[in-house]
Amino acid sequence: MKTIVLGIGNPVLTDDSIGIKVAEQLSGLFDIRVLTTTGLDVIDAILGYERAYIVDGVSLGVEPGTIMELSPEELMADLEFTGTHNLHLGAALHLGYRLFRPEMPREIKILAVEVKDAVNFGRHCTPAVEAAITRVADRIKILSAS
Amino acid sequence: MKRIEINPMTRLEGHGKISIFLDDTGNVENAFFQTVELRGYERFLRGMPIEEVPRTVSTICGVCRGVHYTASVKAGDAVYGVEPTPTAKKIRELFLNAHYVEDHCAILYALGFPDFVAGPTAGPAVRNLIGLIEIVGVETGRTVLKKRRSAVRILEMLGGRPIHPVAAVPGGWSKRITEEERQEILALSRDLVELGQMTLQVFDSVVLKNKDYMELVLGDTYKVVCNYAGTVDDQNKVQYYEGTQKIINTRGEEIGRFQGKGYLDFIAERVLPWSYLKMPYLKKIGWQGVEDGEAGSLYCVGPLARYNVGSGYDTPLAREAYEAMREALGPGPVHNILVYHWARAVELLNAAEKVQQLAMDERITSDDIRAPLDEAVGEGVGIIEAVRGILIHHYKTDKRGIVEDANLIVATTHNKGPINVAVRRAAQDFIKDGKVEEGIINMVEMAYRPYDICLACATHTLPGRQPVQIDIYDSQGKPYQTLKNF
Repeated sequence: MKTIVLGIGNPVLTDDSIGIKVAEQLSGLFDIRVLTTTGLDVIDAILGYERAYIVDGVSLGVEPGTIMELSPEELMADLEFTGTHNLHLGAALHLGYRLFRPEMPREIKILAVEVKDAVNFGRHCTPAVEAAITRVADRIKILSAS
Repeated sequence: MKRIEINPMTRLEGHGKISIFLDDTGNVENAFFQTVELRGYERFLRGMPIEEVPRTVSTICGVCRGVHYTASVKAGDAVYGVEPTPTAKKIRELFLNAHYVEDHCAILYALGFPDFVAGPTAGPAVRNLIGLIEIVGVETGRTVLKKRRSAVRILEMLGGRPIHPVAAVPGGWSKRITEEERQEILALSRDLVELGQMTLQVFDSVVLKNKDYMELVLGDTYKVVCNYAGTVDDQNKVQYYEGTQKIINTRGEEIGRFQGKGYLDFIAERVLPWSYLKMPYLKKIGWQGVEDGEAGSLYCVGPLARYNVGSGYDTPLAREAYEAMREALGPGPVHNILVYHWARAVELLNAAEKVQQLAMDERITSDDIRAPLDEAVGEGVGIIEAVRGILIHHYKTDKRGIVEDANLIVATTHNKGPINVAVRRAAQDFIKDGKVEEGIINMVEMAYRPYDICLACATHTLPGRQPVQIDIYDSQGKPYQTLKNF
């Protein structure tokens, strides 16, 4: 199955780079793509693939490094937002399905990792989030094999 | 369906925070809008080789990716005292204009048009891009996104990798354009010009032909009378990559012009007691408070400022569109901020035509893409017209080109004063005698959305949206009501 791993984040904002680091670790096993934001580029990145794994940081107040698996439907539930500068991920995926359904991946899984610090500058993640990089990568390998 | 509760405000620490203060009668006395500052990046750049800086600053914002990169590499030229080769300049200009097309397109369709299509009183559930698609049609939506993708493809070809470019170097560009690539860009540019024409048609049918919306556009609620700064060439036509920064007053009279370090003669920053951020104003007028009007010293930048400062655009189709705007809006500066979107649509077409013109020039495939470098002269300023307005990158380095100090002034910073005035005016219109009208957050969003503010966009995390919270305080300073869009 043609699969892409899409890592979203800022490479120089500590834990915000988690998505990018996971994607880079899976380079060679899957097609990978890195984005620093969640707008229309998300649609461009995943069109034409049968399966997409999207990895990003999240701040829910749970233990840093916690991995959450979400479906697009769970993110798309929140459309009551008009934004100031960009589209959020749920809106981008919703738009992709509305306009390009036949070309959108049949399977999309979002892997969100709780961040501890995505404000201070740094090229490395904090220890708990750093430890999650391989766990997320391994999880994607398992999911893709099933 | 499970609803995920995400509260990103905890991490944004006050960014995107609006505070509204009421007087004894329950009417708005003042409103303040705090925006992000870039001091973190400025510190992070210290100790970095100047060659690495453009690649790093391109991550400041995933949306504004091309502009920080371009301003930074221009500052890098100045740090080495080198003039890029003519071919390198053409490639950079091509890159910047392709970025204009994709960025303006995203802003107009995702954020600007939905305000008009559903109307300001509509709930956010329909006042969004999905709602817009339902009105203009799926086929139109599909066409717009496909044509926008052509601009992204050009960026990728020129930048050396998707999304965040790596090809620019002080004195030039590291990757020449082959004849095959030029032909491909030329073919893609036709999509961009069609996208520009189509966007103006959408604006015409959705906004200009609707009497109610035009009353909103030209009314007083969304009007901020301020000075303007924008970049022009020697024919006074709007420019994006290179030119002179020109400042006019509220009546359209020229206050002055600057290039490079000259910005320090015109722009001063005021520390305000209610904010840890500084607010820029025009030094030659002197600080006149956070007030608009003819005596004010606030200025704004961006598409409307460029429209007001210049005498038109330098490509044929955009020139026609400019003349139609002038005919509708009359001579002199336009202070109605919803006109930002109209100017944005014209610029999209202008940038698309420029991409086409540059791609038609066979000399762009020459291999003189980099001028030789000598020892660093130690200081450099790079100024461009970013999509949202004048962007200044100012670096000081040692003789090896290692950054010792950096100062970045972005469009949202220039516009901070006018944004505050716009937000206050909208709040005054929609909060009367202590009664907070339902939907005020929509009206306030409409007041700052034309400026396309870049809020804390260096960090996003899921769901990738930018939260805004409005805190309303009574005349005693006690919390009265809180509104959130998240």
